Amino acid sequence: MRGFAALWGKEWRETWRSGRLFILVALFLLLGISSPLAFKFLPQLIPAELAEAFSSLLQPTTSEVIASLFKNLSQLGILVLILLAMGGVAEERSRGQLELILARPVSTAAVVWAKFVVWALQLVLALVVVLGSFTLYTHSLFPPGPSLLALLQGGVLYYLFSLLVLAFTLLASTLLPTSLLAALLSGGVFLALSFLPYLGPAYARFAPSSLLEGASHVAVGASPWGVWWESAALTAALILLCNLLAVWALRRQDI
Amino acid sequence: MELAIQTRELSKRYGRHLALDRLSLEVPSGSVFAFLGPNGAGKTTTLKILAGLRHPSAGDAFIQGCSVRRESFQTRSLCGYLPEAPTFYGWMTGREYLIYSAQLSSVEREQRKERVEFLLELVGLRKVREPIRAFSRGMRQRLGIAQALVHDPPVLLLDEPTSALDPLGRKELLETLASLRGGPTIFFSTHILGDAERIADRVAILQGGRLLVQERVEDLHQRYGRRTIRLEVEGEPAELIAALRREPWTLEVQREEGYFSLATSDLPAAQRRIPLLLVETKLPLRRMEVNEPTLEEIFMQVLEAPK
Repeated sequence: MRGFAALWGKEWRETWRSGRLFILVALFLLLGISSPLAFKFLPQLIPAELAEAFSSLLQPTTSEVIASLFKNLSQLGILVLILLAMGGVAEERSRGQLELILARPVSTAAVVWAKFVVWALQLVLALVVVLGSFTLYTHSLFPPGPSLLALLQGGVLYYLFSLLVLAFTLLASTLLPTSLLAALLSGGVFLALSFLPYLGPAYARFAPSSLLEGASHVAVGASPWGVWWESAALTAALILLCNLLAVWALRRQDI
Repeated sequence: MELAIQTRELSKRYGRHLALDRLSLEVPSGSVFAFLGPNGAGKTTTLKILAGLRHPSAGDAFIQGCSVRRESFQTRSLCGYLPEAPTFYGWMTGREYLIYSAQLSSVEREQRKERVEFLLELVGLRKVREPIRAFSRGMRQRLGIAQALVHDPPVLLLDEPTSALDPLGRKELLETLASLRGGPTIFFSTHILGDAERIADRVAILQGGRLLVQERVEDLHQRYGRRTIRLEVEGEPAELIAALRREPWTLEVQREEGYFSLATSDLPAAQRRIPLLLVETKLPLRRMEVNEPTLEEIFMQVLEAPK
């Protein structure tokens, strides 16, 4: 992977200087604190006459708050990740920045993996912020709060699925001419994937999107995370496959 | 003759369109080689194949003997490439971009800073601190030249380096390129023939993906260019014209308003004989000048010649 260190360094500095890292962390922070805050202050926002009808909603358990967090992460979080990765290759190629890079003795593998690794690290940072802020708020608003270990294990399952989103969006960005098309393809594929577990138990066992449900289950302590190993293994294999395909596709392209 | 660039039967097809048709080209080491042709002739395609950015459909190209098909890493190490409209990362400064380019080309850490400062000085960007997004087109083009030179490559590939520039920017860039003479082999495409005439010592002319001619500029002048002598005399030149038409080196004499021009096959012989004829015909000379054909005239002649 010739040129990886330089490419990685550039990706990291770009993330920092463009403010992309700050925006990502801020959005995830918002997701982290919005669930406990919303559940805590919802009763004050609902008129008294409606309060009885929504009594169960107004006295939430910690598990419900955790499930709400993972639901937000599965929807808004994934959307943010697609937006982050959609321009990865397509934008640099259409602007002409990529030709100045690939005219140098660097490998296409280094170009693809440098982007992926930097995004993966950004995501770690974002998840640390989201889970940290969520734990703090939930501890103080809904004592005794969540189990930190279970929350982390759920976070790992979510992280794995998120990496697949990033890898597939990067592949789409390599194959398609514009970042918008890459985002649409990626969004469409993950929307379709989310229905896969409902096709039957066999699909649910292996479907990558089962990890999202798994993350929520594990985080509330409803199941051990080892239950989801089949989905996790397939997801890891798909991440590798997406990145290898992106490298192959970029190598074959006329820039 | 040592070759910096060689293409053998190089072809490139985009779907049904044949952009490059069995191009066989030889660029000697150390030369400044202009690659001429109208828009759509296949110049950019050739340059991109040489830079390792496009894959040939057939044939091969070589940079200092290394195949672009089989030894892409080596050929890319040997070339510095500047596209027609280079785009950089706007958030970087010129200095940062050059350091980044040097890292990508594996320039040793100890040499990096010195090389970057030298190039910034060469292209007149040393004191510029603004990010690239604030650069003018001319500044970007000069940064483009610097990034192409950052790893001190033996071959420079420049695609229309002056086409987007104003006259001042063009002049500056041509001066920078001229200052590199004697260093790397410079292979540049252009449709501005005046630029080629100013700095190139060899040219190739391409049309519709096919090579029409490749020669030294001097040879091209001799082969295609008909040198003419323009004469202005006082008095009626009919007797002189008749005498000139009897000379074996006279190809054609054309009488114009106030002067006449003479096309000759042997310029030195004509230059020696004309003063004697003037004395014989007793005509006072007002003006005598030798006109070389421009590259533009030769270019048009080559393009219009029957294939």
